[in-house]
Amino acid sequence: MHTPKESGHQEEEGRLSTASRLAVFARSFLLQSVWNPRGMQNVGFCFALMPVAPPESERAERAAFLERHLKFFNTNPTLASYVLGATAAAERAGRGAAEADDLKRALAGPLGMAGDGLFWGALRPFAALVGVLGVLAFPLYAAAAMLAIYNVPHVVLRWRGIVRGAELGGAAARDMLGPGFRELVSLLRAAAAVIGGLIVGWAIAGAGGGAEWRAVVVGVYFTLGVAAARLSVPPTVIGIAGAIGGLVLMATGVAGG
Amino acid sequence: MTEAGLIAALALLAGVLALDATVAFQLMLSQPVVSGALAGLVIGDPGAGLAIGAALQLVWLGVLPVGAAPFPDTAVATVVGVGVAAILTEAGSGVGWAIGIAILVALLTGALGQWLIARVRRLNMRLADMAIERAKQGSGRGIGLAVAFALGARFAAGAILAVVVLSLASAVVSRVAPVGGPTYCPVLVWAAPLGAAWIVARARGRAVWAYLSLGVLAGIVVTSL
Repeated sequence: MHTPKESGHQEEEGRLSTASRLAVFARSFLLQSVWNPRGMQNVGFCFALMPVAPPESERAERAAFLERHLKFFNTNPTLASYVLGATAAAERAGRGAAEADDLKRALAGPLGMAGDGLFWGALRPFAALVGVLGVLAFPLYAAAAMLAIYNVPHVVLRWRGIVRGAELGGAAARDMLGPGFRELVSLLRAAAAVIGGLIVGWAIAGAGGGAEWRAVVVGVYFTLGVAAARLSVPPTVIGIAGAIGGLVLMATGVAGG
Repeated sequence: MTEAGLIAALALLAGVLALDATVAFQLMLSQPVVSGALAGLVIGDPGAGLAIGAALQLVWLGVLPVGAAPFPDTAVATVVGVGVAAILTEAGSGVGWAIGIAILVALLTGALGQWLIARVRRLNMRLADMAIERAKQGSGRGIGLAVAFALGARFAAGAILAVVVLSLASAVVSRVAPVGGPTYCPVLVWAAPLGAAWIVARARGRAVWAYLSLGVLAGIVVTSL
């Protein structure tokens, strides 16, 4: 078994030094770099854990470490840091061979659902709609506002995941799924709906020609958009139809100016 | 900047931003509003970049690059769209036609990018196999190599797609482009309801209708003031 001293890290067994945490944190941004249909995030996960791998001189242990972390892995890319922190701490404590698979199984599912719900389903649409509203109301800061709203929680939770994952191990998912999580997701979704409505209101009453037709056009597009989304028509296809319709509106003088 | 220089600069930007979608960082730089703002700075018209970015953002609000789900290449599409708008404007098209056509080309580019992403991910499977083979001998170098090659492949796919579409646009679209025309493009009139439609379609309860209606009323009041 490799010890912290042998692997060149000045840290106690089972505890991650700040240098190791920072190295795993930085590498976690490449978790999906080699995303593939078979192993999904497996190569990226192993790449992120390399700072806590046994040294090259311990060939057999290093091979076993690489083998167990190149297995199939998939979860939300931001909250994967909890799994990385917990697994890195287990490896540091020499319990990797016994615990790594169980840790990944215990954490990947709940954190994947939580992370996808929070980041993809709530925070990203909310930040994106603030960005679009920004284009209308404060164009100079639109992109910056969007980036700040998304990335402050994103980067903070990535780092927190490494730290709390190492401390809590298999119970790390509780750190995210505590009281208030569902309420936060609901609040962000409600706020996104209000901002989406504001943008639609702007489209109806804003500047440009064809004011008398705009409410009708918006209503027709909205109805078709809901129907298409419920029928799982890909957004790009709906968008192409919308863009062609927009050109027709402009050509016929119904909208534009 | 010459047109070739503009295409090269936009292709470089497209390649870098393409990495952000899933492969590296995921800082939202690949989202259309941000990509549009950056591409707008490159062409010297941030307003056009933001208008195109906002429309594409609303269309692709529901695009979630999760797991094996296919997704359009939003960053490359947006950068290409902004480049096409610059080419059309240079050819004499009014802002309305330039932005309207640019968005359509961007959406088609997004679909092409989706196909390319699937090819790159198949290549990743080979890279992963190579890393696993080397790992059996205790070597971690295959992992670093796989990461480097995968980043390079994704960058190249984005940059090449941008060069091809922008070169085609430069050769073909600008020659058949309408000269003059509307000075305003009504992108919000069709893109905003499509974004709102996604919000309603994926919501579970009925409360979303109240929130959306509140927003619409507030938007009409504020805009009319």
